[in-house]
Amino acid sequence: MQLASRVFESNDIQSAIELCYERKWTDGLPVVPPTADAVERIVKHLGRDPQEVIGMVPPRDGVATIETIAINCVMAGCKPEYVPIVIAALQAILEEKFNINGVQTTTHSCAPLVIVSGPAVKTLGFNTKECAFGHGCRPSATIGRAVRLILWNLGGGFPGEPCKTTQGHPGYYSFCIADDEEANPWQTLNVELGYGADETVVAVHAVAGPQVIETGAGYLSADTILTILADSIASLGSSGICGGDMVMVLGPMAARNIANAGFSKSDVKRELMRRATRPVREIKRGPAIHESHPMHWKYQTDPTNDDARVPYIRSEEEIQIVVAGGWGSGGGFSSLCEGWGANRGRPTHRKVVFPQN
Amino acid sequence: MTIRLLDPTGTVARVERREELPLDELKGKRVGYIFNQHKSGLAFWAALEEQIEKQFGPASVVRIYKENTWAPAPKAEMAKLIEDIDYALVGLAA
Repeated sequence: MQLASRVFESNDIQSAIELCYERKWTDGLPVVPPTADAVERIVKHLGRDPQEVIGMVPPRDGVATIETIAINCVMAGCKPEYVPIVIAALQAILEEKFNINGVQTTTHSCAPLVIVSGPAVKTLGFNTKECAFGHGCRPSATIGRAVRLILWNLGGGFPGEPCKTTQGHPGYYSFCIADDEEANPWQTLNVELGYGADETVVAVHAVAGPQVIETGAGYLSADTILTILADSIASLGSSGICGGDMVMVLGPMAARNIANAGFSKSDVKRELMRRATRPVREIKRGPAIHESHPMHWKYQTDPTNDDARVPYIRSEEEIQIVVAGGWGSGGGFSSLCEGWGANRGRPTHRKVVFPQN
Repeated sequence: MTIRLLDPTGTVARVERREELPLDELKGKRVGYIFNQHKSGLAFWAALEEQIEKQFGPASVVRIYKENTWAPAPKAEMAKLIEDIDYALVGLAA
């Protein structure tokens, strides 16, 4: 197989790992040295031309080919069968409306969250239960990691210059979860996005790290849970004050409780839209975007009426609900991943194309 | 044992640029303002434009004030601006 990448040599595994640090090929965590054998295994599995171009990754505009993607996937520890998901995630990220150039350079602390939904969640062995966002699962850990390494090595998203994120979050290392079909009382994400139940889909959202919400779903009513979720969304420091998008990851207990009370997923979104508000008198004292910006809150309500309510979610499309996590205790823990806000970028999604073997 | 590692950074896409034409003098030239309208830069940007007006008396002014601070300016507007100016000031407030 003819590969085009430059080759560097090391004498042993330890110096190979060190070389990756010296060449700034990693963001702090050690990586698997990307040997030609390992890269060729991925390219063979995909059955694609290694020089096929998937896109340019801003802001550096590094060319993402099947080969360079495969190299970064090796470094992340991906099995070859994970790589179609990485490719779909990258294609979604590179859609213009996602605005990855902005995501890579903003002072906000958003990073692309990769959400996987469909049959591959089970076949590849994603963890959708305890610690859905966290450690212990190779597919989500390494797919999220591969996306980050691509943004790092091809996109050049280095902290300070050009990545201006003031805080960042641990998801900058790896940020991937999967929709729990078994625990989901509603349509799964792939179907909701218009794909078939037999199709695996990747959705990407530029969001901050997960903020845990104790819903009390084991002993509180659905009505109260919705109020608690809405209260968590409508904080004065939230970028959602000017709309945008967010991801609400409901633990299975919270989802079951709400669904058992008769709420569809769409009902939940509408209820959160209705309840996640704050009065003008509070909002006008807080941070905001420029008033000429079409997403400014003043276009949503009467800015001269102190009692008028400002909505944090302006349409159902601005909130994505995913079901994942452990059943847990009566706390019914869930998570909110707040978006970049104000339509600075928009979420995107792609069907995963697996090789026909 | 020699381990051969492949470079994960690939190549960088080539961008075609026009040749830059240096200006000896800014006075009386056509100026373009591309501003992202971030709230923290509004006062500064207004003062800057005022100063340019006083100091260089531009022959004409073309503005692209982005509605979405964080997204690229519309390509069509940028292409038109390039034809109508001699130099541009780009304001990226944050």
